[in-house]
Amino acid sequence: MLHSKYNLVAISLITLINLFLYGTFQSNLLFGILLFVTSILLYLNYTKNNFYANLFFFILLGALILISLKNGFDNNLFRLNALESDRLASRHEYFANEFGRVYKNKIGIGYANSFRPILIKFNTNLFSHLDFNLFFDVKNIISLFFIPFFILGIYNLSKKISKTLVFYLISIFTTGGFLSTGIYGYLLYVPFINLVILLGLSQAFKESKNYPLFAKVKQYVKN
Amino acid sequence: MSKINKTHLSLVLIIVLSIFLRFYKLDTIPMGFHQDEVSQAYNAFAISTTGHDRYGEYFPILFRAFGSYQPPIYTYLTIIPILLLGNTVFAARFLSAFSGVIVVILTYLIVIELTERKHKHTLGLIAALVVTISPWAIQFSRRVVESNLGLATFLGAFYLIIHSLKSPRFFPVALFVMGIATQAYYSERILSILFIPLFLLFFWRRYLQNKSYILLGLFLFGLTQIPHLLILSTGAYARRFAQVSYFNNEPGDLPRIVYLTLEFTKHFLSYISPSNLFADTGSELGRVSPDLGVFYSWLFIPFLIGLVCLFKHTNNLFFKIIVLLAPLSLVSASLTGDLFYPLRILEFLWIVSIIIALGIYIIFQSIRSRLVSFSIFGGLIVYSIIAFYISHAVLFKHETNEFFGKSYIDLNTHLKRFNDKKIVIDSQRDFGIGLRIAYLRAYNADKLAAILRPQLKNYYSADVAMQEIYRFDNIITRPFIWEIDSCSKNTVMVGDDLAISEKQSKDNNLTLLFEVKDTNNKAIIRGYHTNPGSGCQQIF
Repeated sequence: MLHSKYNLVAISLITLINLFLYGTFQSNLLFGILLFVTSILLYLNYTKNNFYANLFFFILLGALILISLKNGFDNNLFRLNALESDRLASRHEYFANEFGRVYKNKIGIGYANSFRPILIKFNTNLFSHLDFNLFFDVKNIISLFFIPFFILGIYNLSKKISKTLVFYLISIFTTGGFLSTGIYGYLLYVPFINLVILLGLSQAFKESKNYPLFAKVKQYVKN
Repeated sequence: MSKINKTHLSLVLIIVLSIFLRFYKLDTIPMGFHQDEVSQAYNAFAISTTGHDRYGEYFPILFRAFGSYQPPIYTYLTIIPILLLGNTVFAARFLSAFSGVIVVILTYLIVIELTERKHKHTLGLIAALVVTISPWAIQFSRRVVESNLGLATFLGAFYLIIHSLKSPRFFPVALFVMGIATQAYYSERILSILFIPLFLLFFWRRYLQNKSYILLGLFLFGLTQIPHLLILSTGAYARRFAQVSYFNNEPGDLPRIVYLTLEFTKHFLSYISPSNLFADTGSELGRVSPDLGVFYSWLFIPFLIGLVCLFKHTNNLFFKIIVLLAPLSLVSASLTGDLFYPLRILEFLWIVSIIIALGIYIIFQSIRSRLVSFSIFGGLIVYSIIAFYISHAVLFKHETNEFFGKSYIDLNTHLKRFNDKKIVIDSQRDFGIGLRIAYLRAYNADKLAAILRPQLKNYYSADVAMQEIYRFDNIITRPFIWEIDSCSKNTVMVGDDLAISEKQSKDNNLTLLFEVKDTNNKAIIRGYHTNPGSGCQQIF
């Protein structure tokens, strides 16, 4: 996809709509504005790979991550609540009975009681933000409208995956492990979601210009 | 050693690993014997000895079971292990474990059928290995799960149908096997009916010269649907759907069609969300073990890589087949109310496994040193198997064994000491207690049918009771009737804490006879002897 003013307008509109749908501006205006600008910069990076766009993108990404960690950090990540402590105590018995001396030593007990609970919570946090129902509220018609373009956009994205995009995704995915299941975890993905929707819209528009949809499907099946 | 011999040896090793992971301690991991499992098992035993199920219905089309119906194929095929191995938990689960191994073999065959000559064997082996070690594939092979048999049958048909693209004479057999798959589990009913016409639409050119095979295939598929047609009007055919779908829910302010579309979309999205595929979603029935997702978390990276690779080769047969099958495999589950129920999407999980295998293959190819790549993946596989063992063999065993009625298996041993007494077991929370005991004791199916059949109006019906009274030998299982049971002489009342509290035992002058403890040494079931007082009306 090449950069064009139409695409720029489209990404701005998609971002604004999504940010309003997610209630971002109402929750944290600064965060919403930063997300908006980051979405535009990600699009520019993807289409033009401009040095200054990249530089500002990374600065804003850093700011977004810091704000997320400040406001959405999972305070229970390194602590156990009463229920978790009870369960851990029970599991200590199970492991001791099942594994005997393999478990009943410093390394085994340390792994099961200290490291493993943190690892599991971190893992749960990592993936908790990757629920598509968070990004697409099916009760909202605009969200529903975006879904097929998102799927088409994933296909289009596979043709070109920039290093910046990969770095961005790894950064926010890792950050997500430290965030609780609040809004900040999935909001970090908004620039990516918006870009993919735009890619899908762009692909659909291109295809409809060159071929009527039915003719395209017919040709694909024929091949 | 030639490349082909290395491939065969590797495949044999993978199959051996899959057999070990599926059959090792099959009767005790998971502990217990869920009511749905024992329903299949007892019916298989009943058919093998009398030709009818526990209600006296001869060779049923669907098996009536605890508020619903179970598809028939699993039950009929379980006759074989029960005849050979007796009425054991192992015999009941054997077919599911065996289906799991068949799925591994079919994975290899399907992938090499779909892939170009250069890559096919390596990719096939990786795919087979991913399916071998994936939590969903192991867990659902280790219980009586008809959907596992449904998956194996569907994949068998799938393999034949892909093969028919080169040799159309396989098409009729493929469709016949696919028709059998619709009798194995409910998801395959919808999947097959959607898949066949779309497959023909995609690939119709390849069958232009062989229309007779298409017609024969469709005819054979139609033949396999006759049993369904025979019970279509009874309500039994759609009973399970009525039980689990949201179609009868109140749509609120929305028009019904809008409500249904939104619900379908919401459920569809939940099934493709990485949060449900690669992280813990809970360990209730139909899901996997504690602290584990249907896939190990580290498989998310190869999944993404595999997905990108797949989208880069859209003209490939591999891509076309996957794109056709993937969304269809989610339709039936998306029509049901549970937000994520992996038992209903095994074909989709299988497809995700293939994509993961593709990603692993690409990573393998990009690492120059074979030693490094084997060490990394070898280490990850060993770690994964250990993680699965901790989750399934230890945590699942201790934290969910009561859900599987493990204590009621142990209870059977205790009850043999009281053959001279009347035993009343409370079945308020576990409807399968009576059937579990009947199965383990190989209780005569004719006698059980004489007890259960009068409790039904019609065998095939939309109205199917969950709670039934089982009465055999000196045992009766039903909810307690306190005024009668506590006043009954020479009677043992058996129940959990909710059935008989400490206060109730004191108030009714009951004497504790025995306790059945769980794996955590906690008393789960207690047996009390009644001591009817003067206030009781003598009834025994």
